[in-house]
Amino acid sequence: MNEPARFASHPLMADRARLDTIIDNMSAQIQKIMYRGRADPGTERALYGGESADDILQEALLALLSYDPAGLQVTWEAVSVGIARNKALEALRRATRGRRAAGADPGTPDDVTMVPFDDAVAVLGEDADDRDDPERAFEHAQQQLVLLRLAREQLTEREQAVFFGIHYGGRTRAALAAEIGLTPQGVGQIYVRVAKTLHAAACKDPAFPTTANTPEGRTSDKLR
Amino acid sequence: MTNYDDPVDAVMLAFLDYLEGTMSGRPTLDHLTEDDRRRAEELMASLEAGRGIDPHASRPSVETLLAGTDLAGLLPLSPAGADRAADPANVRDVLAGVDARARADIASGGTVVYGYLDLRARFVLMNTDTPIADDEARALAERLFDGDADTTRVGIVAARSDELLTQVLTAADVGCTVTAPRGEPHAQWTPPLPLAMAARQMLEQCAPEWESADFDRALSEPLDVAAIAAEIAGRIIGRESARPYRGDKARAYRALIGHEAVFAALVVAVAEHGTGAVDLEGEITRMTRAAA
Repeated sequence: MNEPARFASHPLMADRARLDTIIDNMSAQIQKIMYRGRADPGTERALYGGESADDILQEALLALLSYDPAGLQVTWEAVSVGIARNKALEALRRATRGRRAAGADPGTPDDVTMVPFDDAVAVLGEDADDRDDPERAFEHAQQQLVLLRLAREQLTEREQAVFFGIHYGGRTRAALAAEIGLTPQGVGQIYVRVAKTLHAAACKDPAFPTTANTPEGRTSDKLR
Repeated sequence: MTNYDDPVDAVMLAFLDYLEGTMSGRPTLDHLTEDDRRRAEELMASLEAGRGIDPHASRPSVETLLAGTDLAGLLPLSPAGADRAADPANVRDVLAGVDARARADIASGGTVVYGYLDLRARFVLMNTDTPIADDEARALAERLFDGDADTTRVGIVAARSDELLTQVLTAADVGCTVTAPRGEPHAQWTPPLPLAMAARQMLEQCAPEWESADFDRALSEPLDVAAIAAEIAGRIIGRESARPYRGDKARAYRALIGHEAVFAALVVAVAEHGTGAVDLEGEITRMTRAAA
């Protein structure tokens, strides 16, 4: 750990708005690795051994603030994504070491309450662009946080249940329909309508990153 | 309802089928116009990117994340809490909302006393961003423990932290201790927590649990002095008259049997008006003569 005097002029501590944005994004990156596909309602969101997403977020923030600004080759946003993902994977690795792998035979001891490590690696492999380009991953997560804010502000309770369940929880329309008292077709129609509406509203939101891979450059380029 | 004139709707529903495993491949976008294809791709990418995010989560503040860590010293440089410090009223208000059974009052010296049954904690503000229990804080806690033997816990509250970060200490935490051979402290301090959480944790860990008291019903009813006096007088007269007295004394006690009410009336008169209002000697002489 570095001596505190070195951090007295840490650029992120001098820009709290940017730091808060980065921490929000790191929290989302960690959640995506920890919970993806397993975020059932009522599930206790902690790893085997009691480590929570907030614990990992704290580790990631300390690592980020310990990063030497002089050695920065990319943006702080890109660094934060890499750190958050690595910390989440390390936590999963610790929690799943010696425990059941994904696809293990029935009856195999399985004390893992969250995503088995193999699944988490598979998640990162799904989107090669996000996996290899942390700045793009940062922007994608930032878009999701804007959508989430708009959903909280604009959607009715039932619309929120549908949107949150499908979009973030990965739940099936049939499962949600049984809970809400609609048909699966009705749930799907609500989701599509809400997703289109929110996306249109988000594109007008100044906090919504939309410049990725455009001639104008990336949002994060302005932040470096 | 979805807009069936919008071809993106059908693509999104097909994409949901694919994600739910009821369709083998991703939907094709060949039939869409360029604009529609771009919209569909963005919506599908958004749906994939959102998976796993907890829509109900709220992350801790920077102050909470850094509190108690090696980087806690960064916080005083933060402008967030530099110009606003909490006062005892803020502390009292936060504590008052933790548990309706407990009381929070501002005491002399600016400490806030938080009490529940015989648990008493004192919360004191320090003008810092983090409740680092340095020598000054340790000395302050010792003074508070020494000044009130009933104090069970002392909470050091960082007045300039957003969530009033609090380090709760026991007398053992600040007293003289024997260092372990390895040089480690014999006990680890609890981590600093936001004030409300620290108070709640304290209540969960050390709030007393008193059994419900079942008072004697007779004692909870209004006191009937006359009945009690008559019962006592009857018991004394009965005991004395049973003794082998001879002569006038034996006759007097036996004559008093059944006249306990006379004594009861005398006791009631004394109880209501005091001995000054009743001529005790005269009354006793009158009763003695009557008995004789």
